[in-house]
Amino acid sequence: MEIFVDGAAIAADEGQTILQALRASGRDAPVLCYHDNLTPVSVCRACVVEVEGSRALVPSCSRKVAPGMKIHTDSERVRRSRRMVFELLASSVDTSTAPELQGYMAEYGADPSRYGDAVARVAEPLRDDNDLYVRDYGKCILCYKCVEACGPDAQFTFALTAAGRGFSARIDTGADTALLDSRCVFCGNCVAVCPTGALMPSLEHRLRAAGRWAPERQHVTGTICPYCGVGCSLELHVQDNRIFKVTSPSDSSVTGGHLCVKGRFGFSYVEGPGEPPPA
Amino acid sequence: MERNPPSASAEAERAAVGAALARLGWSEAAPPRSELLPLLHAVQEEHGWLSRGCLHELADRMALPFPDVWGVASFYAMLRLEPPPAVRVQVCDDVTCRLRGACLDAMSARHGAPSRFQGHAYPHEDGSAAAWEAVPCLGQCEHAPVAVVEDRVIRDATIEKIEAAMNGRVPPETASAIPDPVPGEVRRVMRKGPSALARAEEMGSAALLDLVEKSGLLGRGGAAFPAAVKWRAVAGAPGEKWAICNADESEPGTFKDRIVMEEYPELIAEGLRIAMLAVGAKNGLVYVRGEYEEAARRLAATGVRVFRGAGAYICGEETALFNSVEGRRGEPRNKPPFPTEHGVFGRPTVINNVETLSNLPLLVLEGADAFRAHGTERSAGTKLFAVSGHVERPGVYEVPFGTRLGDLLNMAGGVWQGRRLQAVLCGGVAGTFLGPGALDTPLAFEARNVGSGAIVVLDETASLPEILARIARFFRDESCGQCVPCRVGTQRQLELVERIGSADVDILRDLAAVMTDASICGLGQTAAVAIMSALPLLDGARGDPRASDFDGRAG
Ligand code: SF4
Ligand code: SF4
Ligand code: SF4
Ligand code: FES
Ligand code: FES
Repeated sequence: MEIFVDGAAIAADEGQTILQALRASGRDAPVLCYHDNLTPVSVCRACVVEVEGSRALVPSCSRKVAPGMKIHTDSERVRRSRRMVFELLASSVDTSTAPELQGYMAEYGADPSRYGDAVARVAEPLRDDNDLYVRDYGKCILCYKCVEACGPDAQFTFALTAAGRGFSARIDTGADTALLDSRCVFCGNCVAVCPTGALMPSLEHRLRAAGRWAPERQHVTGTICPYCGVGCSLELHVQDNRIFKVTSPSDSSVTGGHLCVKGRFGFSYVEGPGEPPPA
Repeated sequence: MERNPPSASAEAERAAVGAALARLGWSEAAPPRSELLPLLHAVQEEHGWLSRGCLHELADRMALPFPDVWGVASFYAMLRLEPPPAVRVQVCDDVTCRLRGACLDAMSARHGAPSRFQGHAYPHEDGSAAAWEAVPCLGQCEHAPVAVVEDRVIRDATIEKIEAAMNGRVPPETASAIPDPVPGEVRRVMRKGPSALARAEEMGSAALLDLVEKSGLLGRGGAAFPAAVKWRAVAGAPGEKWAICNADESEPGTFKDRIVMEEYPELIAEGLRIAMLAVGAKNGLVYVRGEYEEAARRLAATGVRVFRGAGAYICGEETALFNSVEGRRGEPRNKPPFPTEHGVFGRPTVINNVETLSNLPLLVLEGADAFRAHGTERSAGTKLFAVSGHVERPGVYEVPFGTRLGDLLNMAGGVWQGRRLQAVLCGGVAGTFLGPGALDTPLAFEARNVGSGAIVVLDETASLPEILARIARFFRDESCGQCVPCRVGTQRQLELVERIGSADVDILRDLAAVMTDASICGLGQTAAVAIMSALPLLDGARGDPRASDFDGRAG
């Protein structure tokens, strides 16, 4: 079918979302809650576009294309809403470890400082209650990706939920149960999809907290998980010859980016002698 | 990091959950997820509150993950995740009760600061329960100010009455009857008449659909959507279908549906039955606002299936209501798909407001022409308005569409105490503020001033900034928190409105734009409308040309 994007006719397929059609034609939209391997929840509203005939803006990450649809991705309305989404988020959470969001803020000219200092922010203590990953919900943008990854989109463990509501809504293990006492099986799939660093491997967190975070001394090595016959693809993230994080490519046909606790966190045996991991 | 250690009274908690399950008929099998909200109510009735232990036990018995149960329980203001004080005292601090002299300062002076649901239980700084709660509109605004002590509604509340009730010393209040109609009122819906069911059954689906289409009946819930369009879509859909009556009336200043439920419950039961016949739905239910206990009782007495909400304005949004019925958090869904295609339990669903359905018996009995004989060309029939605030006789008035706002106010006795009119909040907190110059405006859907049917009158002494701040807080408190524009936007809007100066108008306009344009649902999309409409009436912003050209859409 044919649709029109900012005046240009482009081809799109039945069943595609607007975002997919945009990407297929070399265009894009900013996304925060969207992930290729998760069901779209369309809650962040970063990706909104204007569709002629529709009163409100529509989320391109889930809205399906229709023949002849006239879409505007760069109108004043679209730019203003996107800028406000980034600005509102940055006015309420710590974006220091959210590179995509920072990039969008610069691109759209978001200015969170104009709300002043006296505004409510998401105030949450760092939850550092196990050896594998930390939770810093003061950075959480409530994209729901971790809930989906822990639930029906990947892990089926259902250790996470959104709790409360409104500005007080939070991601929660249920009554704020410590991770070791919760349903969590430490697969780290939530950590892998988190776009803000609210969920972060403990080793990465310790490097950053100790002031020893040095991206220029980091590299990534691809390998295959040695533990079982599935053979998941792994990416070992290494700084100064120490692994601080393991991921899997989200386009891997074996894993879709998801791993189990062994592949994700069970790497200390490969570490040779040397400087011990930061405590 | 466990906030509450495992309860010492695990046995009592198990027993409470067991009793709740037994009461709802689930002693043996594990209940389906859709029983979650009814069971949470029942456990709270048995145990007094929802302790961690109760929720774990319930999750186990329902074979649900504990986080899911916690996520649902923490969503609703009526569900208590902390132990309540010995006597539960709730004082309405919403728009109408403030206007009518809610004794908030006196309560604070004598009983300390109130607790308030902040989207996650009622936090108490020292872990103890505050002596009283400030709550949003209880839907009893014709009796404002209103308080609730334990389960007793105190009308025309004073600190003396509240304290007497706290000490267990209040005579039972008699239910007030609906006053006789005043001149100008046309009571067509609000009356007891013969049953229309036999006639509806004779007519059958096709004739009922034609009748509703010919009548031009528009939904009374606020969106003014043609009832026939929804009905035909569901009637033509395959498979099992649902019809739902939306009785989650929770918008501040709105109490008309409560009156219909309490006084004319059989109208609603019949209306729902007629809708089910017309669309071919086997299943029907009425989703009643949790706080409306008396209304729920009277509806249930008609034999209709009643599902109780639990304190969440957002559940009046149709897709949030479906999620609530399914035992999920009351978060609205992205649309499309629309309810007519993918409604409750994924089935095609017709959902109509109480007042819409209450029009059906008279429509079936009298026909479309008699129905259209009242109202305007584009808004057929009569409309119930809930008039409250600074008028002599607050109450529900039924008038033909097209009635002038000034005439409606006169029916309610005009501005009280001989004072002058400052402003009218027309259509509820998602509606617009009109100045005294607007009294000639006809009330009709085409004039976009009907909204929820709430009309709140402010006399010259009212503090408009105080009322605006309360409205802003309402949206902040009731946002489901799912989408960024509304979750953060309503918080920022509240902060700005509390300090409003004309320098803030630019930011307010940006907030209004993103909330209106990019929110998922109607709550966020309308959260700025009343506030922006009031800016021209505010001293601080008066004369600022930017304040007056906002029409609810992004510029
Ligand atoms: S680590 Fe795995 S099991 Fe634990 S919360 Fe994250 S996704 Fe769920
Ligand atoms: S913790 Fe991360 S993944 Fe989870 S909702 Fe927050 S930002 Fe999204
Ligand atoms: S607009 Fe508000 S209430 Fe509606 S989905 Fe978004 S956060 Fe929830
Ligand atoms: S990326 Fe589409 S709404 Fe978040
Ligand atoms: S009952 Fe208090 S404002 Fe409605």
